[in-house]
Amino acid sequence: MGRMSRGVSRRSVGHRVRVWPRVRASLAVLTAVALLAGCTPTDDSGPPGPDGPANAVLSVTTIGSRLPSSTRNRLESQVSDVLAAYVVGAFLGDYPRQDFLGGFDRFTSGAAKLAVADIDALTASGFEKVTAVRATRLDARLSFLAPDDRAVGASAWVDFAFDVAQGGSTVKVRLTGRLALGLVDGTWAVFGYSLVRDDSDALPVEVSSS
Amino acid sequence: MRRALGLTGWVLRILPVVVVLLVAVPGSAVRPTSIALTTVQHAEGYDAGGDVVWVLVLGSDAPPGTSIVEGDTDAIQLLGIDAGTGAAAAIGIPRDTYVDLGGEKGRINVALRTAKGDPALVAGAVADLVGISPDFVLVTGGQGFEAMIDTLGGVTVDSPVAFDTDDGGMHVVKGPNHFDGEQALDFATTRRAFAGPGDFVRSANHQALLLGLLNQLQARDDREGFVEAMALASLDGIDTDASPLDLYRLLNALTAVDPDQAKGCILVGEESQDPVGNFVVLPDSVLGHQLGEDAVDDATFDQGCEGSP
Repeated sequence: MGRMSRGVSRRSVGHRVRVWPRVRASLAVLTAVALLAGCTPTDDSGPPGPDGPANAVLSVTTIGSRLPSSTRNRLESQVSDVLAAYVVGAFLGDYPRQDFLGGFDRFTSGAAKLAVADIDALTASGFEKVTAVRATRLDARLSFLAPDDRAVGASAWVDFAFDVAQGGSTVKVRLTGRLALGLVDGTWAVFGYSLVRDDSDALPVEVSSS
Repeated sequence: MRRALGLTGWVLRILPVVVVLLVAVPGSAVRPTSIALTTVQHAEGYDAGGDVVWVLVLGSDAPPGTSIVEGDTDAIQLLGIDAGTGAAAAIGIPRDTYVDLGGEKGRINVALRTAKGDPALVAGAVADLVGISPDFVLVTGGQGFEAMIDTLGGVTVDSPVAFDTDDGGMHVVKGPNHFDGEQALDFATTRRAFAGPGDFVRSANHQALLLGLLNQLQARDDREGFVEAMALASLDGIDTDASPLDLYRLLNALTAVDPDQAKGCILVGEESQDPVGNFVVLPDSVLGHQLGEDAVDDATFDQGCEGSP
């Protein structure tokens, strides 16, 4: 899928998409505005916090689409809203907290039911004593199913990375794979997921040689 | 206790070696390093519209240039998919199965043509046989079938037997065979090569083909844009009462099926003749309802396929 030959959105390639100013509606997304607006990814040194580095901005790229650019931009914005709602509800937001189900607000009821069974893999719920979570990378590549130029479904190939602050240490979480979305009753919703969650915990070890 | 003492002894034995090495290595000092402990989890689930979605897949023999609903549906498979558990069940219904077609008896393979393409008649006949009403009906013809196979990059089918195909004379070996679209259609349509009611074996071959397609789909579903390309090819090659979104969700659900949990049974029956002497199969209605009741809620055959070939 060569970017140039397959109609990649220049808007997406040229710079990080500032989806947030266009985000509307739900409380979750409004929260996303507050949490995610601003900077491109910074280095991941130090634990996140109110005064720490900002969250990464969601970067969205459409691949393999022959849709008109105006249509593509609108679709990217709509799907970005769904992805933002998931990221905020599942990982970001205020800590400490116990409720991560909000991450599935934009899932179909059937997908949310399945996701609850996978909640430890799909959210930060499995961590204890979390003080903050910061997004260090939020990249998504979208592939739309658009018969007769009407988009009805999409795959969002995501590459998300987070720093999870637990006490004095930081755990790095990477989430990659695919979210499957459909236009259900006029609204985009996640109806499926196939995600790999990779948690790496760097434990300092001293090697004494004297 | 012996293990603890053994470990202590081992440490004492290598300690001098470690000390010599540490002293001998110039510039050695306290050097922090790190050990990365990684936990990897894979989570997968698809909402296909219900806990178990049942799809009636029909293969039409309509010649090129005609509507696929004008042909006889010589391939009839009722597929159940439980995307939550990854289980899948296929109930194969031989084309000569003698059923009620809206007040008249006839072979099930003419039901779609008789109803002028309305899938309700064939779906109702299947429901009578196994007690499961399909959520969707998909009809594919030869050209659409070949195009879908080619979009997938061909298909590898594990044939239970070796045989020569009816039309092309292609030799199929027992075990894995890789087919392009045309060869896969040749494999799927062969029936005269088999002894007895050839459609029982052919129906089993259709299930082997479906399993091959599932494997091929899953071998490629990690490629960006592939599922959407397959959905588009399916929309071009299939006549269905499912919406494009329904079909897309279904295709996604198939990517989550565990091939090891995919099982097929054939609804067999007795050879007979209809009143005008045509060959028909009188279905084993007890077996049909047993298979349906067994699989309807979880897409598994806990009681096996007793009676199937």
